[in-house]
Amino acid sequence: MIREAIAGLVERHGSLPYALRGGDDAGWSCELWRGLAEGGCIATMIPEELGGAGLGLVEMGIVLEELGAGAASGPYLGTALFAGELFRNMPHNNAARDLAALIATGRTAIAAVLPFDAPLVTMKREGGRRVTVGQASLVLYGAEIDLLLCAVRYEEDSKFWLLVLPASAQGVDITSVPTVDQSRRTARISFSNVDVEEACFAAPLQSAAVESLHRVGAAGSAAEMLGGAGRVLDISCRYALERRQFGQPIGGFQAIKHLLADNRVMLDGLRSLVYSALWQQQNSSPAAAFDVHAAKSWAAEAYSHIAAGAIQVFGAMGFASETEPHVYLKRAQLDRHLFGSVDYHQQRLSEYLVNDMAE
Amino acid sequence: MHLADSSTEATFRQALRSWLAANLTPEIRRETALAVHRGDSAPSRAWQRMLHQVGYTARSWPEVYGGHGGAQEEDLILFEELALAEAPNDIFRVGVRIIGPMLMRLGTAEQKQQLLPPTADGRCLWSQGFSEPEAGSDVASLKTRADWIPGGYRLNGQKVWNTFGHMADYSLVLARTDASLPKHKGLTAFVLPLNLPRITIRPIPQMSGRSDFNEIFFENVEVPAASVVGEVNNGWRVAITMLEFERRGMAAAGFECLANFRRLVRLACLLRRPNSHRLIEIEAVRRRLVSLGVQTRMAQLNNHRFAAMTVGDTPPGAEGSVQKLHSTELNKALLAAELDFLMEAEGDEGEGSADLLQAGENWLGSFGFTIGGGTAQIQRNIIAERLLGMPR
Repeated sequence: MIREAIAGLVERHGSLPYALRGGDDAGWSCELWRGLAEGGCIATMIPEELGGAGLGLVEMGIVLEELGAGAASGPYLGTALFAGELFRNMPHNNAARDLAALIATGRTAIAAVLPFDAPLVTMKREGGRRVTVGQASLVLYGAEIDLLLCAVRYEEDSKFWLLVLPASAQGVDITSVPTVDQSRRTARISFSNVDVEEACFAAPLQSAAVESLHRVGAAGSAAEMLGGAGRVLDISCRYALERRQFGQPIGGFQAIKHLLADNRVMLDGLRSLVYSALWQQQNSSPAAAFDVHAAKSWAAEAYSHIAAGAIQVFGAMGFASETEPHVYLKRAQLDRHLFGSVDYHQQRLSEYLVNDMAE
Repeated sequence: MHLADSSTEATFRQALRSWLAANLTPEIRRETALAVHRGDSAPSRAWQRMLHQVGYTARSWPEVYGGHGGAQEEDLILFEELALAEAPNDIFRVGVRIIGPMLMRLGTAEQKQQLLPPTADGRCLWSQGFSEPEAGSDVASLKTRADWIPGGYRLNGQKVWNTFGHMADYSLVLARTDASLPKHKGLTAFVLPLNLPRITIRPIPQMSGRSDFNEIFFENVEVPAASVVGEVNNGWRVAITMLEFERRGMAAAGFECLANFRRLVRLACLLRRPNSHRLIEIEAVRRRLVSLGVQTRMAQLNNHRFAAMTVGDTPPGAEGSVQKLHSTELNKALLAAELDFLMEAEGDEGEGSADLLQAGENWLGSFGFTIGGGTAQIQRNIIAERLLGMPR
């Protein structure tokens, strides 16, 4: 049910033509954003007592899969995904209730700055104040959002803190950085002695909570990638049935059939991994670590491969900007670098093998 | 999708695990393997009988046919735990997972009563009789003839690639009963005791050094009409039904990957390079393990997801082809890695060094699984046509 509703919304608000056109001034489709807010999708993971739907990561994954399938634009991923994490760490007081309402209605959007590969943003003591310094790159919609949810390392004790900073805070410098993916916006954000007093919320994070932020981001991103990979495979199948050469649809040739079949095998494996990752993480199961890292690193491999295959099936038309496959190829390329690089996730899997499997 | 056991499933898994720990001895593993290698099925039959007595084979079969009336989910747990415990090669799988369930659906009352109970407990070992020298992937073009004679049929022709045929008691043979009909229409299925006169069975030496496959020759072999399964000239339906059950049984393949992967990690921790580094300490080895580990987890999760998609009696869909293609290719990669690890550590006095020949045999044997039961190429055709809607 959630699935059909989101698919309809993405379909109606023409996200794909928008992606093909390469964005407008707002940076995303306002109708889609409004639709998501009105449909309660941004509030999926906000706790019920703060006025949200109180649903879990699996339901969120279904929403993200559909948005990924439609090559949707907008800061929904950072906002909807991390709203849940934010209120898990924040006391449920009036300030939280007000913030939850702003987020749920789409008036406030969030971007996450997380220390996956290397904690480049840190907090230190500077003349009696705590300040944040460092730089984060490829932040989704960093230049378009209102709030930055940052996990920063405190240099005094090497522990992590959660800061919720207004994008307008003194010392926060945000530069739009265009990438190959024209369907979404990214930014570089530098923090030069940003006073922690400027944060709407600041609190130390348990290491499990840092892990949770990472895993939720990676699993959610993998779900969105699954949606894109599935759709671009559908698109190539549809084209293989339409396009005729040598007097028959090209889908009748085994060269095309086997390419598509191999990609379906990759996709099925990805689907199994992604939904297991979402479920295990939602239930804090011991298998969550392996499945999340496996899902994100396989998503990077499978999505890029399936999108590249679609361009090959389309032939010369796949090279033309008017067809859809390149939108997905470009999204896959950006997604590979979001919420932990392939290298990061494989490194974590490698540590898991050594520490947990090899007693 | 099965991501955690229910409480009854967890109890079942725990009991099974304890039973295996107590009863599956290294001697049983070694003896069954050596015996099958030389064409002796006796230790495997004894193991099958042990499993049957405690309800750990033919689990989901109805009790009336010698089964235990268990849920299908329990079959999956059984496959998973047997694989993880490195239980002996299940030479009864064709009978228990494919031919038995097919007979329950299409066999006569007499066939079910006579053949099912011994199939469940290891007295009756089956070999499938489909392929012929000129009929591999295109099995419907087979030429073995079954001519009507008073009271039955006379068989002439040749079958090939009959797994365990040299040890088997029965074969499910597909033969042409009417050559005037289109190729799929003139076939009939027979249950055939392999001890009938004028049947010759010749093992085929394989590249791995094993001889699990056979050629079977029929020269005027007479079978009673009661051996016909289903209707005369409707043998294709029997073949299709068996294919459906084969897909269901395919789940076990992913669990084999899991068992092989765990063994691989164990070896990597145990073995050292001649320069004395343990393999697991080498970055390139770890990368290879990570990549295989992700694939293995996919195979295991696919098993559970695809099983959840086929509830009750509905035949499993073409997803089984995804599973087969993925897990059989993965097994080749896993066994190649195992052999590489052992060869890289050659000269190490560690535990693994004696296994070099066995690992070589396993690796070579794994090539058979992307050929048998529908080649990888045929699986790709099935995936493209049935799941992705490409033209035939």
